[in-house]
Amino acid sequence: MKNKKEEKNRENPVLKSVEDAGTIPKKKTYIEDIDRGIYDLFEENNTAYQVDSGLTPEIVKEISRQKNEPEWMLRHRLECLEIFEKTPMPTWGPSLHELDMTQLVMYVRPDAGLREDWNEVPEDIKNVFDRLGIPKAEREILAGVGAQYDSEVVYHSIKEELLEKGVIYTDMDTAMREHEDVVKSHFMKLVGPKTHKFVALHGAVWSGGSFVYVPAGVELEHPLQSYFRLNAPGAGQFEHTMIIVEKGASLHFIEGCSAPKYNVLNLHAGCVEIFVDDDAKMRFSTVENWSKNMLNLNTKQAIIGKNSRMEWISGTFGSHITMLYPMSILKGEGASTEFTGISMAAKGQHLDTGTKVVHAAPYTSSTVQSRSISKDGGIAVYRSSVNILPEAHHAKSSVSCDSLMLDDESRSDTLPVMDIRNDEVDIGHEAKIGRISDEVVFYMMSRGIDEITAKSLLVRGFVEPITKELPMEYAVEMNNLITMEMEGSIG
Amino acid sequence: MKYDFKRVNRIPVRTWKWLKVNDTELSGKTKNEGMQKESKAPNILTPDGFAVKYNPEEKRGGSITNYEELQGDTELVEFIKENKNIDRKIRLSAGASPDVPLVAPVFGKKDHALVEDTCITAEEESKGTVILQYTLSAPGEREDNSCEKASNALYAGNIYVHVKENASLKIVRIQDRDLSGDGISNMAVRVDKNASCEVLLVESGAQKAVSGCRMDLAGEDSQGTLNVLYLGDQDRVLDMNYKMNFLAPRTKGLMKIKGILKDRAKKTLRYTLDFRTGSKSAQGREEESVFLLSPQVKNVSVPLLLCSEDDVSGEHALSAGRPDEEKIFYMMSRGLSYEQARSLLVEGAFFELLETIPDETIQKEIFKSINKRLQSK
Repeated sequence: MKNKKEEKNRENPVLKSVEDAGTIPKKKTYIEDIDRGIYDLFEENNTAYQVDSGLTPEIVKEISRQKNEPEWMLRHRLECLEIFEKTPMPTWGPSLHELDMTQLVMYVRPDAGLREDWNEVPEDIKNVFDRLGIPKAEREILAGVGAQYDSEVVYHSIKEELLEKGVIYTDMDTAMREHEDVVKSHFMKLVGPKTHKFVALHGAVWSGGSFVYVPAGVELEHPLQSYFRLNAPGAGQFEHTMIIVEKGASLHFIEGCSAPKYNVLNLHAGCVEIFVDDDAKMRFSTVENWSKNMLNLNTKQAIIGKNSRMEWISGTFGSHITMLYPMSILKGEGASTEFTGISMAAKGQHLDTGTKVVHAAPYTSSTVQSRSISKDGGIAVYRSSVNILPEAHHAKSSVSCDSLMLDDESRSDTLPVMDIRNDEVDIGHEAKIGRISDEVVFYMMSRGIDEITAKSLLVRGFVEPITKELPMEYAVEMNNLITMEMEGSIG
Repeated sequence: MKYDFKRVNRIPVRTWKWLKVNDTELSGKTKNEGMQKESKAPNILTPDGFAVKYNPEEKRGGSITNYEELQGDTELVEFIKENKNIDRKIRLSAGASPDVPLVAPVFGKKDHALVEDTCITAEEESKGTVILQYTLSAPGEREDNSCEKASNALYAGNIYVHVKENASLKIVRIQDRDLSGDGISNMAVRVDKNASCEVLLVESGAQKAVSGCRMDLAGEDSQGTLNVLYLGDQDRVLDMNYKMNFLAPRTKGLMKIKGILKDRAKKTLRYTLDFRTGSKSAQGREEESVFLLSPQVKNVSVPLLLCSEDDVSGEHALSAGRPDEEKIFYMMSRGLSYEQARSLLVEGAFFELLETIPDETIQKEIFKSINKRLQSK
């Protein structure tokens, strides 16, 4: 924790603040960059095998051969490769001109097999996850853990009592062997390869990820967590997560990810497909802390049945460029979804995040709450769409997005779209950008709170709607990711 | 005369292509009778302080120095340059403050295009109101308060407005001319130091209406207000793009948009507040409320908020849906029918902006026209 600087005038800070309001240029609020500490530690020489850099049909075939996959999956990969090559780069959003596919390694297998006991995981890899707190979290609060290192899952476990209830939580390769029919009938059926160019890429070179199946009526009291660690420089991580929640079931799934910082580009183009049956509940929480050499082009989508609920909790702090828009399709009558997200864009970062909701049935509802902070030239973009289809009468949607900018080097854009095709709806949207009121700070100081504490409280309050949705340990982690030093006024 | 606009009303920051909001297109054929030397209706006065010149020899854009940047879609600008039949310059003299507005209607010939290039300048310290109306009949002379139908009559127009230091200008532009032709227009406004400009756009004409307005709050302490009323009914298509740029310190801007959609109307509305670096202490708000009166309407709204300056306050709000059922129920309990109660609520929302038009005859005409179209099945 950085030492705090002494305040210049402690005799009468309230009066000083008032006197200075009209005379002295306002100082900027300074917020420390996220403390990356443990995230930037990396391990060398634990790669067992990797394909050549670049993207060719031969490389795709080699990945499939390495994983000993069924023929249909290889065919699927090659079809996706063709779609990727034919699809142009997007004409909106951050520029991806730095991306050079010829320099990326699409598959890196660590020198470790899949284990169910941490003691059997190679020491260097185990140490990485120890530092990240994964085994500890597993012991204390989780019902199961999946840990992926580069392109493969190295550890997977689930509590015995859940197995007895019929819950399946395993890596995707195991799922393809042991539950091939289910995987085949769902794999990239929700997020199709033509969704966008980087979904097609994912379809061609995907590896790793988790498969979760929760039988009807089973409610998990504790969350499952998958953690994705990309250690190799100049590599890509393309994990595929598939979650099926049957009728009346409920699940909280937590996803974490990080990578050490290198001077070369890394690429993350994962995919999450979630199928929520009727009367079920699903919560998907993500705390993303990729390094600033990472392009994060992730795709997440959920389809929600009758009277079911889908909740997305999303914290985006890392990466050089992120394009991430979790999508909910409210297919069943009475289905609902809630998106709560926060992003913090600092120097060298362009975070383009948001959500998409499609109301495809009557009496569906959606709530979106998004917060962003941008500083030191960072660019934070909120991008969303809410589509109300003609059959979605009595749909309700409420969208709220607030942005806090800390200097005039940064940028914050809000780009929502509402497309409404029925009149029996109730739609509201609001957004704000700017500064925290000096009047509010003044009021708090008049109640005896010093200026630094007042500002710290206000900024923490700004992110509080998000942190309160996470399990406590992760909320603490999120607050620890943001260390704050306040001087002058918040702007 | 053919027209084929491929990418107009372009959104300031592009988004997903599948939403089809990044821009729009407009194409068709229309007659054009050539340059109109003068267009003046009987009993229209030019108040003291105003001067209206047709076919002026001054350079295009008048006194606006960033004319080229303000002018907007190149396709529209070039089309108007080649085909205009209304070319006029309206000027409010320095220090002038006429008590009555300048009503500057344009009367088109049935089945013939109106292609307009108008420049309006409010000189320093002046204060006044300009009402621009595009119609096939003079104010107060409409029969049955409905718009005449003309076939394939295009309206295309560029209007440039410059409000100089310490001036205050209100512009009302009413486009309810023609329910079966196309309309495409752009207004570009520059507001200088300590000046203010209030624009009211009434968009209720044209089969497909493409409407745009850009307001640059270029001078310190300048203020801008952009109010829009739109009505989409039957199979009409409305495509709108409004933008307010905050370029200087302590600028203030308000955008208020109210709309009604019924029958099978389709509407796409983009509205943007853009706080540029240097616009310290700027304040801006944009809000839209739209009544949806039919399950077959298509209502698309894109409220953008762009910001590269930290010391600002910007907000936007949007609401869409049917009129409040509880209020309708209350009015029905007082003896009104459902349709009457609903109309009252809808018209009441519109009237807040309509009553700002400083010409009662025009106010009533528009109100009656909207009322009649709301009642029609």
